[in-house]
Amino acid sequence: MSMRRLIILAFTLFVACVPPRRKPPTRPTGINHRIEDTFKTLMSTKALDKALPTGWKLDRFASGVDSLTLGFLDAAGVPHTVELLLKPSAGEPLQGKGQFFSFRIAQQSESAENIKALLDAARIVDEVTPIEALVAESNSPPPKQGLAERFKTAEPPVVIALGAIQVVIIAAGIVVALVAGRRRRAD
Amino acid sequence: MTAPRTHERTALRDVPWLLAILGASVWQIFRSMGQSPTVWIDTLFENVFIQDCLQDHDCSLVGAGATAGIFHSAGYLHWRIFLEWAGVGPDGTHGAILVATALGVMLAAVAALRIDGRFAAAIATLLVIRSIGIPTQLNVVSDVAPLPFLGCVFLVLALAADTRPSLPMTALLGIVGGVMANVYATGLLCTVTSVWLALRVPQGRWKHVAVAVIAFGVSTFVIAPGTWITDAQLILSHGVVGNAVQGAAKRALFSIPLARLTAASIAIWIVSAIVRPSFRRRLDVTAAIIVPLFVPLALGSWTGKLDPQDKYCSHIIGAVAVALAVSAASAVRAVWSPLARRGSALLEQATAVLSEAAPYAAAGFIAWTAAHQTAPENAGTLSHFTYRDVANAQHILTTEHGWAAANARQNLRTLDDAVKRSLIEWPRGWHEAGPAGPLSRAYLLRVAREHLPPSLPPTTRKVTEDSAAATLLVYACSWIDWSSFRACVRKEGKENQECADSGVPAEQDIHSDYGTPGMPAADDVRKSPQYLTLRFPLKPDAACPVFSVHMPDVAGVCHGRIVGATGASIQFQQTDQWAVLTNPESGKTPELAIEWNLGETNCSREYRGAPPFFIEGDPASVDLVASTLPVWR
Repeated sequence: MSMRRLIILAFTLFVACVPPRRKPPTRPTGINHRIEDTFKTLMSTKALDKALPTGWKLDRFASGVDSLTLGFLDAAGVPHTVELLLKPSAGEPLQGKGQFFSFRIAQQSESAENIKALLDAARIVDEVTPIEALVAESNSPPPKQGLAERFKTAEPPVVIALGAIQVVIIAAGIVVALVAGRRRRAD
Repeated sequence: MTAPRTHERTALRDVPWLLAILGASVWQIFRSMGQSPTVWIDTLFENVFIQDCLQDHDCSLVGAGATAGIFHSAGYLHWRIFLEWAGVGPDGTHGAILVATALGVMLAAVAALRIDGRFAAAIATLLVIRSIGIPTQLNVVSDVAPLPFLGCVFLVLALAADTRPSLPMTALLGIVGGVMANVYATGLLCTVTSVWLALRVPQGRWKHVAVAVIAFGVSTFVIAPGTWITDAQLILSHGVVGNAVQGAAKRALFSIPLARLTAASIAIWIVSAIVRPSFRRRLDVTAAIIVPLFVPLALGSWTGKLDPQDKYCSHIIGAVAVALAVSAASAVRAVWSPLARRGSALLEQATAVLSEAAPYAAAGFIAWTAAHQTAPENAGTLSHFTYRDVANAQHILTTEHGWAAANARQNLRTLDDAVKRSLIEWPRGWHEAGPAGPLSRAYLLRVAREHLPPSLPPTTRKVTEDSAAATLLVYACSWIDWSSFRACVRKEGKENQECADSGVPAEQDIHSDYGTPGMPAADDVRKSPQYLTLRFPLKPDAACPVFSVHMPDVAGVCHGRIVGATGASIQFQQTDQWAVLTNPESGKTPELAIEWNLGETNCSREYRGAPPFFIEGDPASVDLVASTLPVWR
């Protein structure tokens, strides 16, 4: 098989297997659990720690309508807060923007170093928050999904097919390896 | 030992002993790991993904979070979803992994045969069998469990790609590597192996490198695009910090048995590169699999970023075993062959026969160990609850007592909450609604045979039994209503208690954590040590006029003390660990108070935001449960 054919085959497989996500029919209640669970996962993997200066720790996390709030305490116990806003008001002073949220730092007197740390932490949360969960609560129209978001969930037939394809690939790998070896020894 | 005569052999001659190894391995692995998977917290997390996908049509292409701060395993979850959709249950999934692992043992033998011969194949077989097991999570349904098998598939395919290079073969190797990368993150290192082997191709090596990279990249991405998009975002945000918990003790790299074997195989490869390059070439393919894992493992461990574990070496077990087996077989041959040649022709002939018979001997040895394995390896431990245990217990609770899941949430007590949660969430067939009475209690216990009472009272049911232990379901009559109590917290160094209404909820979302509403969060407890007092309003029951409470001192349980009771007579049995309550005052609601120091080392590790385990109920049942738990601190 030529390399060109391989690339075309791979691209076709890619396009065929990963359709844009359609909205699931219904979701159970307790939507905020999803945000909290995602955040707990984030905390358990300590992904936020790298963004924070030494001695900082998360003091509080709150999810409201259209917003998330992250409150940190530095080594001296001074609070630092960053809000992630889904729909910031016009003219509202913002310090950064992520995939879905705009970021507002609560304290006006933050140093440049602290602002950078807070924005880095906000960006991490912005990237992993299941946006549809927040949107479902706020009754806002969902923001336009980025390319990345389209590839994060799929319908069951796609996933079942991907599971089956993996079984076929491994089986093919075994058969080819055994047959190729047999041929060699028969040479 | 005779030198390998690869070209003289036919595949057909090898089939009987390969089948013997496969059969013996299946038997041995099932005997040592059990026919039902051990209850495991990660399996429950995986089950949530499966349920979200098949019931709510919300299937993740991102996968589960790893301790190293990235997401992975989406491909493995696809496979589990596929099996679930096909009607394969937990025991079937576990069985599929075990059979596949036995097939992996056989494939490792094939790899050793192709590099060196039958004697090496026999040694490789024994090394693989010895290395897999509980350290590689083969006793549970988890993303780590299929890795030894997948690693062996990758190994034989890599050998085939190396000896008969072709672009389709290189592409297939890359695609299999892509599957492995989506089973467990260490599979990403297969791309290094694919490129390494592509660079060894005598002609058109850069074309092979391009095909290897494209095949690996495309298959990896197509199977789980969300994983790699999310991980790229996390890595670019500097969100990955390794798996080492700050302040926690880390294992030394060479305290890990598989790390020692891996290092030994690399050392042999390096030494042979200097001393005998011709021998080194026979180990190049295994080195291409082993080195890409060992380098980051060693660096991560030595820089303190990574807490090394056996499971990280799971996918290279086959390669390590083959490398060591080939080295050992060559060493034996180097010593023995001159002796045999100097001896009689009969000795030389006998040596050849022995070499040919070695794989049968290996299969026989494996079968012998299987025959002498009386129970699964960890069957004697308190934590060894299997899916069959919880499924049988659930069946008994529903058929004999008409329990619904809500009854189990509030009235079932287990030493480990993961077992209770498994019983509620894993088996199917709960009644929609159960009896309303809150005061019937059930304890699910794993009891070592030596602690089993000679005869079981009618309130106790044997759920399962093996030669090492039995799983018991003990019913009790209780005064405690777990749906309503008060949780009071006093921080260390402070005098004031803060109290909140608490209670074990009848309904709980499968996405939620283990916390009980009103109880202090586990993370808070780890940050600032505190004392927890639970105040239970008691509901004396005519069916059990005497109520007993015991705080067992067993491993894995946060150990508390009985503070006292009001509204009833309380009599302590020597210490504050055991008390008997009688004579409730009429017109008053008696109250029982129990305290735990959550800052104590064991508590801070074991507390999960839910009431810690203790035994309560009618004295006969409490005595029975207490007598089955070994004292162990």
